[in-house]
Amino acid sequence: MGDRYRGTWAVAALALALFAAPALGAEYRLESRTLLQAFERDTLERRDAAVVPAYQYLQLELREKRQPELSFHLYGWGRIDLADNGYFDDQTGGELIHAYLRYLRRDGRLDLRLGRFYVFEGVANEGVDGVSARFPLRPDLSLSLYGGLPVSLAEDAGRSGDRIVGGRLAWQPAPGRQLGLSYKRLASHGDRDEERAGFDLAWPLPAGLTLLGTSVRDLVNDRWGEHLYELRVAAGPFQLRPFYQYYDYRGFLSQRDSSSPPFRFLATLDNAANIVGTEAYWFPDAQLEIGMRAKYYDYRMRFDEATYLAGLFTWKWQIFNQFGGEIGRMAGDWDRNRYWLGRGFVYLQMARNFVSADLVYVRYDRPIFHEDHSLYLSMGGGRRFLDDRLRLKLAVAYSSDPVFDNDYRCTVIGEYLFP
Amino acid sequence: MKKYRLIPLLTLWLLACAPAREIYVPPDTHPPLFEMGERRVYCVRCHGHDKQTLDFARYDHTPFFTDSHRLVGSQDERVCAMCHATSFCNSCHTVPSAELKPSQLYPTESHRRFHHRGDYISRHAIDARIDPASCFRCHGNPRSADSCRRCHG
Repeated sequence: MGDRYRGTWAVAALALALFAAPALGAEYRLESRTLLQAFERDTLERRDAAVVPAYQYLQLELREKRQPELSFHLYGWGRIDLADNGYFDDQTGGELIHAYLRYLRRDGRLDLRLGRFYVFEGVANEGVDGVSARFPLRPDLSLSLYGGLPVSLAEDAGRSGDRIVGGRLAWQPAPGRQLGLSYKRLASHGDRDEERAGFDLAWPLPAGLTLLGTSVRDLVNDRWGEHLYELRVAAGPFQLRPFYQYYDYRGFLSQRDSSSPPFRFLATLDNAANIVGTEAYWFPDAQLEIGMRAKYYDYRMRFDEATYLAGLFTWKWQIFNQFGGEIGRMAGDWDRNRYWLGRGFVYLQMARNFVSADLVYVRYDRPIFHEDHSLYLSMGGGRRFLDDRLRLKLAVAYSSDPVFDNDYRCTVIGEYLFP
Repeated sequence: MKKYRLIPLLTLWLLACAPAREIYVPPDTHPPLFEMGERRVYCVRCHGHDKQTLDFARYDHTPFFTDSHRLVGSQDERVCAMCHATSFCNSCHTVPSAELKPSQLYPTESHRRFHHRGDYISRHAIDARIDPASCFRCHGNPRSADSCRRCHG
């Protein structure tokens, strides 16, 4: 589907669903989100050209009153550039992000989806135009299956021969214990682009420990692509989460149609990354969170080791009301791979009003485009109206960094919830 | 390849021999979050550490949850779906590119700790050299790499 038609199809599908709702005796929930942004960019024709895009996001949920097992879900967006100064390839754009019919049996033991939907499980993080089903094989064993056309290849010279199939078998011998086997096969124009099998587990251990993890085998190149394992240790107000990650570039990234240019190149290298690290938390009381994240990177070839260390705190005293700070250090092998990051943020809600702010400062050990630091400041506020169904927000962001010098972006947002 | 085809059959046979036990099916939706006040991000503050149905502590939204929720999220999306509509996940996880990065789509939500705010277009080259796998998860296919295409082709 070409760019110019996507928004039209999204609007048509939404209109059809809305007009059909009363006739079907369905109840609906529509969330509208309108954004108007203004900023400046250099384009091929002029410097500091105004860019004024207006975005409309719509999310619709329909449910049959007499048969609530049946529901329809839609989410999409459209955009028009009101200035039309050549910043975007097309003045208008849009996308149907998901749109599917769902049948969920009342006891939850059969879940069917038909249309465009997302699959986040096992080896899959995919958008699919097709059908999926999840059902139990036994009380402790469930199977989910999906198949159709991969959304990821929708613009790659047509969709003929594009296919995706996969599924996951999950065994839960006891609450909190789970073993999963998953599989995915993706074909582009009939060629096997990806075929992966994965194993995942979540397993409580003695002394309150929990082990989580996954391993993914690349069946095209017949090698392991990824291992990711994490141990969770809780002791009163402290938590420790040591982890290990392994990525084989040839097995995890891909050189095929289903990948994108920067990664196709990396997949030709016989490199692999071993990452060990930990997250640590301290919760002195119900309001204060103190966290730390440390990572150590080691490579089979290309690049020497690197470390990343970050610490943050957050003080919360009501829902959303919070402020916090973060400091991080990326220390790569060369000075061009090193930076310091500092961040502070606040979010305050007062009755029907709120204000928020975010400040990010980064200092690069080696200047990027002759700049050795960047500063980003965002401030916003808003108010709720009509029993909280209408929310109006305003945000202004300033950025001075190696790519954008004294860059401002203003955003006005209107959110409305029907009915 | 043929050697792997036996794995599912062997797994099914082993599982068939194991005693069956009822699976807990999470409800379709959680009560509205706003009623739960500041406890919303820590499941255990209401559910305690009882693991009879779910291991609630596993889903606590710690300060680095945006970095490390994958292991729990990919095991049973129904648990996430109780509180988050798919559109919430789609603010970051979109296969067709959303054109606006999350920090531009939700510029006032400073508490969500979006990764790509501020100078990230300058800094991403450093993170990508150090850990390209972390970029690949979200920008690894042609449609989700729309934002990469302007510079990387």
